[in-house]
Amino acid sequence: MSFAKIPKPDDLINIAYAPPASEWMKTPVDFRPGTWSYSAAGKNLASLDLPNPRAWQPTDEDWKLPENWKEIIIEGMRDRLGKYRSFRLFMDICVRCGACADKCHFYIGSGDPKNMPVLRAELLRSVYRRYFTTSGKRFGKLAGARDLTVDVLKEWFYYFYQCTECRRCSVFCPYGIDQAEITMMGRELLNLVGCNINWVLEPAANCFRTGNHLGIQPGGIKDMLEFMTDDIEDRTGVRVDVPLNKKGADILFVTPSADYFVGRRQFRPLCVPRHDQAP
Amino acid sequence: MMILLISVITIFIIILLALGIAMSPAMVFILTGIIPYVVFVILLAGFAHRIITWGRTPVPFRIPTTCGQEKSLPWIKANPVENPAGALGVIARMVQEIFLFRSLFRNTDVKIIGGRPVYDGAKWLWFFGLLFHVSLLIIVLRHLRFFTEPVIPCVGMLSALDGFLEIGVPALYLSDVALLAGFTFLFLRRVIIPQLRYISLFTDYFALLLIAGVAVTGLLMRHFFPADLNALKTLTMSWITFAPVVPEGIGVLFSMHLCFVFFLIAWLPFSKLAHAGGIFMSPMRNMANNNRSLRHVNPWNAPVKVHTYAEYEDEFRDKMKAVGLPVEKE
Repeated sequence: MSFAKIPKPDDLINIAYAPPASEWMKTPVDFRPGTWSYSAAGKNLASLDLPNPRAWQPTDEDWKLPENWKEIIIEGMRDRLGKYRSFRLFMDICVRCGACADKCHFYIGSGDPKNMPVLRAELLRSVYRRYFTTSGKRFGKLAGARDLTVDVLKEWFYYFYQCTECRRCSVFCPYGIDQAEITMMGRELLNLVGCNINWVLEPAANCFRTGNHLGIQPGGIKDMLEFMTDDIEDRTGVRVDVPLNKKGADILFVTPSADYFVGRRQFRPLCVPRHDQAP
Repeated sequence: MMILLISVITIFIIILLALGIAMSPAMVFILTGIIPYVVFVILLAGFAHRIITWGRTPVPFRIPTTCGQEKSLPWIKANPVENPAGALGVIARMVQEIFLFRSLFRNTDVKIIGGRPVYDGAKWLWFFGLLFHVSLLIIVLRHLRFFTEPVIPCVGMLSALDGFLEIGVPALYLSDVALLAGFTFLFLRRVIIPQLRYISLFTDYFALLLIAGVAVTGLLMRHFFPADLNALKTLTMSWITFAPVVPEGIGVLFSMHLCFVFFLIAWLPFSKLAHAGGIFMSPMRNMANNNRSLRHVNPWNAPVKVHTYAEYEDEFRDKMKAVGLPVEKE
C-alpha cells in the first residue's frame, strides 16, 4: 500500500456520502496516498509469463501500456462475455435500483460513489455498451456508454482492486448481481495489459517458483522445520523425525505456509526464554 | 438532470407522434393494422435472442450466493432455501425471489450516528418495488378481457376483486392506484436521493416515464374521457384473429396509449427491462450449492502452465544438496 499519513479516528468516521458535483464519467480517478496498491514488479510478471512486464507505478502519468492495449482489452472482453454467463448477464440486466450501494464496506468506509457496487460495475458496463451493444454504439453517452481511454483504465485499476470479493452486494441485489464476478473480469482484463498489483503477484510468483508464498528456499524450509522439531522436543521430550522430500513416502504432509511464517516471526521470540537458558 | 430532461422530451415526442397518427387515417391504419404485429414479433424475437445468448454462455463455476448454512453433517442445521443443496431448494428460492423480491426484503441502510455506522432495516424500496410490479402484472392480466370472448372467468373475477371498493363509475381499480403509487416512489427516489441521481441513466428515467405514460392514458380513458369499449374490443379481437378491423379514426388518448404500449413492448428486450427474463438466468440464484457433493467440470477448461518438480530441483539442486536434502538427479 502506498504510504499515507495515518488519519485520526474522527477524520476516519467523518465520511461524506454526498456525491461530487461533476458527473461520474467526467470525474477522473485520484490516486490518493494510502488508497491503492503498488504495481506488480516486472520480475514477478516475467516469472509467471504474464504480459507486459515493466517498471511502473499507478501514480505515473504514462503506464507504459502495449501499443494495441485497447484492442487487447476489447478482445479480452469479447472472449470473457462468451465464457461466463454471469459476466454477460450482469452487463445487461442491472436496473440501478441502488440496493447494493450501502452494502459495500468500501463505500460505507469511503463515501466514494464509485465504490457503490452498482457504479463500480458501471465503470465496466459503460465500456461494454460502447463496444458490444447497438444502442451504445449509436447513442453513446445517452445510452450510458463511453469510450475506452487510458483514464478509464486507470479508474478500473483503482476501483477494481478496491473490492475484497466478499459478495455482500450479491446477497442484497434482486438479481444476485455479484461484484466479485465483475471485478474479477475487470482484473483479468487489466492483467492482459500488465496492470496488476504486487500483493497478488509476488505471492503468486513465489508459490510458482518455491511452492510457498514467502519465497522461502529449500534450506530455509528445512531450518524452520528443524526448529519446530527442536521446540517439540523441548516441550515433550520426544524427538520427531521429519523426513523431507523423501521419495516413496506413504503420507504427504504439507504444513500451511502460515506455519513457516509463524515459525519465523512469532514462534521463536515466544519460546526463547527457557528455564535452562535463563541468565 | 440533463438526461431527465431528455427523457421527458422523448416522452413528449411520442405524445406528438400519437397526436399526428390520430389525425391521419393512413397512419391510423399503420398503427392499428401493422404495428401490433411488428412489435409482437420484435418482442418475441428480441426476448428469445436475449435468453438464448445468455443460456448458451456457460457457467464454468458453481457460484450461487449463499445466505445460510450449507448442507453438510447431519448435526449441523442447514438452511435449504438460502443455501439450496438441490433443485427443490433452488425452486423455493427462485419463487420467493420472483414473487416476493426476497433479496430486496433484506435491504438495510447505514447512517453515521454519533461517530459510528448504524445499520437499520429499509423496506420501502422492497414495498413499493413489489407494489409496482404486482400491480403491473394485475393490469396486464386484466387486459386479457380485451383479447378473450367470452372473457375468461378468472380475468373477470380479478377485475371484480381489483375494483371491489367500487369507488366511482366505472369502479376505480386498486392496481391502478398502486401502480401510480409505486411509480411515484420509484421516480421521486431516483430524482431526490443524490446517490441515485448520480448513477441514473437516461433509460432509468425513460422506462419509468414510459410506464407512467401507459398508465395515465389508460386511466384517463377509463375515468375521464371514456373510450368506446365495443369498438375497442372489436379492434383487439380482430388482432388476435389475424384479420385487423381498422377503425375509421381513433381517439387521441387511445392513440397515445397504443404508442406508449408499442414502444414499451418493442424496447423491452433491448433495455434494462430485460431484467424480467434475466432474473431467471442469474447463476447466483438459480444454482444449487453442491460443490462438495458433486464434481463439476469447467466446460472450457483452459490449459494451465505448471512448474514441475524437475524444474524446481533444477533451480535449487545445489542448495538442496548443501543442506542435505535428497534430490532426484545428482
